[in-house]
Amino acid sequence: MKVIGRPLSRIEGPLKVTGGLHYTADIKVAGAAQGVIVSSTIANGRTRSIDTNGAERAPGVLAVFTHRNMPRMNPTPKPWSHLHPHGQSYLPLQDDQILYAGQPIALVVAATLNEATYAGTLIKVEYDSDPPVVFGPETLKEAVQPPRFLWPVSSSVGNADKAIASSPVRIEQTYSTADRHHNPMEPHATIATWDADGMLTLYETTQHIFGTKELVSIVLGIPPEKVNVVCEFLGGGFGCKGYVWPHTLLTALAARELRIPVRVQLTRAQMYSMVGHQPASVQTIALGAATNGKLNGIRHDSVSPTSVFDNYIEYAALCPRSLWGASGGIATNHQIVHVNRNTPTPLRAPHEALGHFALESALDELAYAIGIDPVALRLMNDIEIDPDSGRPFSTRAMRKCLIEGAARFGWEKRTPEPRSMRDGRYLVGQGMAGAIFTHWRLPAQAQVTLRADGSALVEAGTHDLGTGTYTVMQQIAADTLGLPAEKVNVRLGNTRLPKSHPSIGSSTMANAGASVMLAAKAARDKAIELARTGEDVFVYSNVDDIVVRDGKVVLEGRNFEITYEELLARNNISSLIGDGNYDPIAEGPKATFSFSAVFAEVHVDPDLGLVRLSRFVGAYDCGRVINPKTARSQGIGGIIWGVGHALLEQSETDPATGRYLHQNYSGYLVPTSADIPKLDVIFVGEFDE
Amino acid sequence: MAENNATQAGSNRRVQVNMIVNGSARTLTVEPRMTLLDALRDELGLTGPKKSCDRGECGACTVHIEDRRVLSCMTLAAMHNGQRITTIEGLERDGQLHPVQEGFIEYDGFQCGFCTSGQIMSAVAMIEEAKAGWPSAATTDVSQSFSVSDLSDVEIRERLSGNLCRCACYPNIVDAVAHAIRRS
Amino acid sequence: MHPFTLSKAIDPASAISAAQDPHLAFIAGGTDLIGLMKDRAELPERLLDINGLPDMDHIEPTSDGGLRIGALARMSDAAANVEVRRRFPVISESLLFAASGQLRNMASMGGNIMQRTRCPYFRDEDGLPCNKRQPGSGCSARYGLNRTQAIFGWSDDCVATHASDVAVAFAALDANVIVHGTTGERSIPFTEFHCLPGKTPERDNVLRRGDLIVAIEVPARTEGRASYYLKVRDRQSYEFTLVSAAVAVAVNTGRIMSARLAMGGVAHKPWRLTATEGELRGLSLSDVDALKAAIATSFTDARPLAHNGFKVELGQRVALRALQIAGGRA
Repeated sequence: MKVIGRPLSRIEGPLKVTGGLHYTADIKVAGAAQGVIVSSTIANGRTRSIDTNGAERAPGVLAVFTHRNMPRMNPTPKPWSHLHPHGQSYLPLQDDQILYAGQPIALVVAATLNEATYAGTLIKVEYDSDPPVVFGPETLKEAVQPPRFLWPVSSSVGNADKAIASSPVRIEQTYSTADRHHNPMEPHATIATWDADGMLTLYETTQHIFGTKELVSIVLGIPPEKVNVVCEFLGGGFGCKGYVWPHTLLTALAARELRIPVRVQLTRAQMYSMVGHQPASVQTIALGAATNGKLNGIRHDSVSPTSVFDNYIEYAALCPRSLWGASGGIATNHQIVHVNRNTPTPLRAPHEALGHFALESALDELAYAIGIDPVALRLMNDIEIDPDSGRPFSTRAMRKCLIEGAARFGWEKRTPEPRSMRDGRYLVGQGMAGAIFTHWRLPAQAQVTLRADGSALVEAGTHDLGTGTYTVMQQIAADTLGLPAEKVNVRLGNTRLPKSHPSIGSSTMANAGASVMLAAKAARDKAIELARTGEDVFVYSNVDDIVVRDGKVVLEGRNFEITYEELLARNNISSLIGDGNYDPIAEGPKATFSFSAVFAEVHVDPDLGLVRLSRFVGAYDCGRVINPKTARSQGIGGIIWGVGHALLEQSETDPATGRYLHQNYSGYLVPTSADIPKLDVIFVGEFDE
Repeated sequence: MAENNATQAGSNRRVQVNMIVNGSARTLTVEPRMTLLDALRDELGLTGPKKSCDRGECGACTVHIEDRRVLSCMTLAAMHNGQRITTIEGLERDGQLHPVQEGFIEYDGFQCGFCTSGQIMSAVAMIEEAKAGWPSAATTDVSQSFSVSDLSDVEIRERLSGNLCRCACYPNIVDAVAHAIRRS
Repeated sequence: MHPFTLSKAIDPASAISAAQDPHLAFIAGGTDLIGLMKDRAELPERLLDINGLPDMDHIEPTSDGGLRIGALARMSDAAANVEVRRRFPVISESLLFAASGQLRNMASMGGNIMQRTRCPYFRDEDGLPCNKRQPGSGCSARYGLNRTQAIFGWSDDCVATHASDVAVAFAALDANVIVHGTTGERSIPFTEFHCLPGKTPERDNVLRRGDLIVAIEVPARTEGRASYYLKVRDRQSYEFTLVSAAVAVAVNTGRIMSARLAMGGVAHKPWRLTATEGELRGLSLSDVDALKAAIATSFTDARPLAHNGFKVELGQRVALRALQIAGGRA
């Protein structure tokens, strides 16, 4: 029985519900000392003096590192690349500058966590402090055009401004979003241990083990073969664990200097300033349309802040490049503002996802200006050719998302006049949006081993951050090999395994999954070949008539079969190994994206101003769904992230100190279970070849 | 300075704590400042309860003390001499998963799983609280009696609101717990 | 955390005596103190565990029909107590709307009313300028980000609010805090228990060194059963108060005979709407305009800060909604 497409429960489920699963900070490394990072209380200036005497003499302390005695690091490579993904170019404890609040200024290493933490409070720092530069209306005026980062900074197809100016209906609006923080439940942690041969093993909370390995080797100046990164289970990442941050580098160097393993786990407060964030944005949208709603032109400009030392761009205006048609032209541009803060980093969901708030809100205003239903407006502007690249979409079930989503939601019952729907004392509001997301094409490798006992082992250097990777890889290999799922084991999260890509941008299933399929296919083909070198009927058969199922190699129609165990035993082979190398071309002949249409209903208490989500339907086209159970959970997660973004999450920066005011879960609000009603997720896509 | 060190040494002097953890008598020698969470994880190797915020603001460290759900990061190990502690590792009975644990597997009540230990310990105790007739902030009239059959989805959501989940599985968690309630 | 010693109190007298030491702090539930120590806002050298003190955790009716809630009773036990729920639903509700299930199981009633402000400048572990934490260092919130801070009773030295929900209910019900100290037992009216910041924001309440709260007594009142707690916050649960109201009324054929209203999230202590209470006497519960006008009289002296002006309007609406719901329970 095929398992792809079936809602298998996660393989590691029993471990997760019994506390048996070990995350990075749960791993016990014998003799490990505890490190605690001390950070700057100012955002702009320098440390005039750091007195570590009291800290060094405190009980249990092994060492106190500052910029005076931390070993030198090599600069991070340019240009930035996913192959060596530094989270920020400014390296820790290398000089006396202070460029952002929360910047590491010392690392205390002691026998126990309490000793290290307490000793850190004994460090006396004197600062020369300048007023911090923070993001706001004044600094917005200092926005600059940045160099290219991941995509072109600006784009222009046709002549958007002309198309907008000559349109009978025009919408121009500015939308702002606040700084947000990833806040995975699992804080970042590193355990660094060096062996006698100079081999560094890093147990690291990362969704990019190979990038971590590469970047660490460059910055520390050691050959990449001397770095092994391990992360078998990750307690959530959402982007902030896809890049290498100061704590990893500091921990590795401290361990090398002290010749003992060192363990550092960031505090929740440090999760705000030390591992990236999503920057605020100010987005301007201009739309020009005909009176029937057909779009003539879209202009989308976005400005977001970044650190003083990096040109990070949050590509919010990527959104309209491929989402809807606008016959006259689509123009987008990004600018950045340098301020005293840590470098931002992609946050679920980054870039174009952030721009949807602006674009879809503007489309909603357009719908009202014209008097057309928002769903009808989207249907009218659905397209088959990607405006950005000029290529046809490989598949695009946006129409289905819109129509089926609307039907499931009961959208037709809605009365469009504002304040026209009530439920007791509450005003009821309904809204919808369309969405697009880039399909990342990334190289990946895997290996599948068919073993003498008839089981298989999948090995790939990819990651499970709650995404269900272990399970889907099991499913793919199981179906390809014709094995029941229980006979397939999966090993992930170690750079000793075949090299794979970072688990970012919802890319793992498609890319790493493809490499696993190729590896399983290679193993299967070897088994078939082996069968055909035997002495029986297989030898004379057509290879196309040979299939695998139920753990056997089967000659269709001839009722002849042999189990994997027998096959290997007969040939005196202990295992068959298949290698899979998925090397996608960067740009195919078609444009490939995922799409969705989402529908929300809120209840508003008009007297108290409270907004609460009451219903939500999300219709998604993300191609073939390998595991509907885990995919649905991903859909639910995305919706709840959207709720947090829209209603709750807002990081405030204190203008006097340049610090994030709420570096905790009580001031920075993520949704609780009480905020979330039942959510409805449907998948309407089909297999995209 | 010597005096300072002596004072610190005196303050740091470890104390003996006897607890019954997951059914077994354990003796710990810990500094007074060690939280119950750190004692369970680092002294007893029970890494099921997690350190996520260490400020009592997320629920990931939830354990039971005398069958009541508590946040182990917000109490000191040395304050619980003689008490009975249960962590996620101690929930199974004779290799049988608790209905809440089973529900989590069936309804996919987890993604990354980091909050799961706290969610399950919280839910198990919450069901007992409901059986004891405790109302919640979701109960419309607290002056009326309450029973476990009054545990609607809205009630479950409110009673578990002290356990954050950032992957965001809440609807599945509610389904898992509702399933467990039906079964028990 | 910093190093400290921990010992166990065996009787109130020796506990009170030990607490003459300014470097000694009582610990009961620890749910505020441990956070304060981790954030280095409080650094006692000695902790005295008072959880074993006898007879301080009972919740029992008093002979006059009121309630005596032991200081060591846990929030969850008080909230679930049948007598509390029947006689004073507002007390149960204010407890249930606070914190989380786990925290309510740990936190003591005495500790709850002593909890310190959630002002983020006070709580910041790196010690931003804060007169409450470090007298003379300044008030970062006064001209900083102050959306969650006070609109009543603040001074230029401190604009913080008190964070306890049940304290608002106790203030509305004119409870008394029963304290044992070096001079014996005394009863402190709840509305006098917490201080306004004035020039001494480091003082949250009137307790003296060595004082031990033993119980909170709520006298019998005609306004008790018809009471309600309304808590407004940005998310649905597990969040401190933005603005709240505790209301208790006595109603006769739809007319208010007497009313007690107190608000949370608006001042350094629960804020009694005394002027409103007087104006409400005799008003019909259905005369919304008159009710609004009565509530407005307590807001004429509201002094909003740069970022919390909304609390002036929201506070009045919260008070009105709570009054209507409490009245509906009569």
